[in-house]
Amino acid sequence: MPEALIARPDRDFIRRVKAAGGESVQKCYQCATCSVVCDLSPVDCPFPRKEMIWTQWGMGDKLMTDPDVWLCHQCNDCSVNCPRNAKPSEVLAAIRTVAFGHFAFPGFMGRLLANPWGLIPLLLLPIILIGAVIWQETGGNLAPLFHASVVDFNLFIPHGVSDMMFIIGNIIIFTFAAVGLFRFWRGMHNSWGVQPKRGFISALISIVLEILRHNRFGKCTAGRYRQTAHLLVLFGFIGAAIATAGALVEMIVLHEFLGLEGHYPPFPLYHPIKIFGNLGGFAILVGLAIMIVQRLTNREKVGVVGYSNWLFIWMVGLVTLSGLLCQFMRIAVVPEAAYPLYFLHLVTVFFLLWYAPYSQFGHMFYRTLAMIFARSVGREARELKNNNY
Amino acid sequence: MNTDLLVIGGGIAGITAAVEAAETGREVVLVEKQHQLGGRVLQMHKYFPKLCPPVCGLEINFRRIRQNPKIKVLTGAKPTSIEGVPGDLTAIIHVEPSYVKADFTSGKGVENDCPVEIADRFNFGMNRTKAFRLPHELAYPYRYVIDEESAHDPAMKQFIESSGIEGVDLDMQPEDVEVKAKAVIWATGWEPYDANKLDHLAYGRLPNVVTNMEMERIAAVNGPTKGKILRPSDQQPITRAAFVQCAGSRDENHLPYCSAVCCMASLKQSRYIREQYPDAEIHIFFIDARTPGRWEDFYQEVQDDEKTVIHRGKVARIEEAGNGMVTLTAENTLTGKLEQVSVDMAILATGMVPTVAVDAPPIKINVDEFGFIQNNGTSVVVGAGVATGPKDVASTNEEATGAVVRALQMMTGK
Repeated sequence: MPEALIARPDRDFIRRVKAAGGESVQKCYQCATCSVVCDLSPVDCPFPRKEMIWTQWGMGDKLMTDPDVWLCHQCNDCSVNCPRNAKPSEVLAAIRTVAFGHFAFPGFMGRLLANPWGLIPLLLLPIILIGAVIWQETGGNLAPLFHASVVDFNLFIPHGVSDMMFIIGNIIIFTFAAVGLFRFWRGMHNSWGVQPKRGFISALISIVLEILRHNRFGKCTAGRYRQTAHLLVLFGFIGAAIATAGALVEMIVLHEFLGLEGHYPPFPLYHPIKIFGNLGGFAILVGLAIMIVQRLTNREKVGVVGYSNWLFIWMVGLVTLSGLLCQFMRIAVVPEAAYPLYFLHLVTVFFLLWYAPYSQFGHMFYRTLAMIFARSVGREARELKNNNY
Repeated sequence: MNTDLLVIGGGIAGITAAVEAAETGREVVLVEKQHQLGGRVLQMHKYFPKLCPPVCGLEINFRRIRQNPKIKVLTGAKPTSIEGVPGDLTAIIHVEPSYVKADFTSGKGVENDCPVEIADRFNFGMNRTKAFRLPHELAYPYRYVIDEESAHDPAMKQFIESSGIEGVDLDMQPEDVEVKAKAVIWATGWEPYDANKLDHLAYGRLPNVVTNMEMERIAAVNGPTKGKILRPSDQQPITRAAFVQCAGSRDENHLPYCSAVCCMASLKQSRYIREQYPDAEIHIFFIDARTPGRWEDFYQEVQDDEKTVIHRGKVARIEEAGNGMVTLTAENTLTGKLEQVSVDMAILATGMVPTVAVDAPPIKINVDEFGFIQNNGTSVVVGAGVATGPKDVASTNEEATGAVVRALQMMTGK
């Protein structure tokens, strides 16, 4: 006698997806319009139709290790064409939000990031740490700083200390992230059960090149603006990352170890570090502005945006804006504005970096990994050539 | 004129209501906006599931009307106002001229020389027809008509004068007829959903994508191709055809409701093609087949046909495939594969839009969220047929008969 297949719906999973913005999943009647209109979907087992029924059935384990959830770039073509208004793109976004928590290590971080009340402890940590450094430096008396004729952030928070917080924090957080990513990678392999056809490095290189060109966003119809907006933010971040890495090299290698003169902040505006940083900052702001305007004015094509997504957008916005503004205030010698803005900048920078694997920022790890997996097993967007009849 | 029952709409619902009421001895005025009775049913090639031609039933009904002096038929007519309460209603019926006098029937053949041609609306504009014509071989009333737009064409005037046809009056004017009635039955039926709104399905862009109602005309002996089912783009025979179910139906972006008959209509139309082409392959794409009750047998029959492939998955894209073929894309949700099928002809199973929703009645009628009449006693009129909700002909007849009973009750105040 064949063994009975007993479905064990994970009802808590369904509840979590709904809470993360996937409420509409219950409207789906499986017509598969979504799988057809999606230009990123493969021929075999296309998405997002199967993800919709897996969610309805509470098959959380399957979805957590499903690369397709991440191959979706949320361009919203499926939601615009859905006859039931079941909004598959929003359901997949909600599944991704749940995944950040699912793979979170340590696990409670995922819960803190997913809920608005978590914002309090999450903000308090960098505020207290940085506040302690400021207290240590100034003894709580900011008056001399405010009355000085130049703005010198080094007297407020020594660069060496913030650099160490940055470096050590990143080492810890990337170690934690690696745990989640490893689980995700192993899960994809186990559940997909396909032997890779292509090596990891080779797939990684081709995916990175593809991400830099953003050609997947280019296939979107409903969310056409996203290619430009996301590309601006991505390249903005790359610019900012180059600036940060450059500054670290200047300060640690050239200044500390080699003892060379003039390689210590503040750097002049024409310095390559500054050029990369400022251009990057402006690119992020423009990209974010497009995203925010589209999210607020074009709800039909963008879809409803959940808490996690807004949190990420505002944090990136605050980091960029406070970074650019504190620099201007420093140059303009407005200490009353420059120091608080610098404080805000560091708090938000650490918020963004330390919590990256658990927040929407984590999409850059998970999506990239899923894309690498898909490429390595040959799971590519379809090229339909009248394959059946 | 005075009457007992006023019936608006001369399709199968209105005809049935008029005949049933008249046969109980009541006076009836039947109003139809076209110049002939029969409505949508007259456009059908065959009925499902028995695959018999609807004209049989219509002929019987026309005879019942013809032989019953209690029924007055106004064609080319529409109500412009209805006032009063049940038992004492006054309607103004605007009657468009047919430009041909009632006693004129002897024109058979003369229309061939008519130089003025118009798009044949009866065939959804798929062919052109003489502007001076008999609307249908079995038209009731059996009378030639000239459409308003061509009546004032100088070429028509010249043709009528030179051919010496008598009984045509191109100066005929519209008239308003006052009808006093005790009850009104509203049976204005439906319009096919506008397939041009179905962007992804390429209707209007690709000639070989047609609607189910066009398919009825294509298959009909008196249709644009004399009943030969051919590829519209180049009149080539059909080797493969596909039916796209729920084309704009059960769809929040189009018609949110199910039109109840499209599944059976497509299954039926697939037989039209298979009868003419024993080797043709049929593909039917649906979300689910809605063939309740006895219809299940018909569905089973179609399923058993080895040349018919049924796919569970909605077609969400139709593209040109070259060579006149069109390619349909759907995910087969049973196999989890995207499928593409290239066919000579794709037939969109479009749904029914209540006419009351597109052509507002001159009296307040309570309708549901989709625009169908609600027969809940809150309106002065009684709805019948598809005006109250999508349904097939058999159910329409049942409802029309029931509407007569309700109207009789309203007349007598009981």
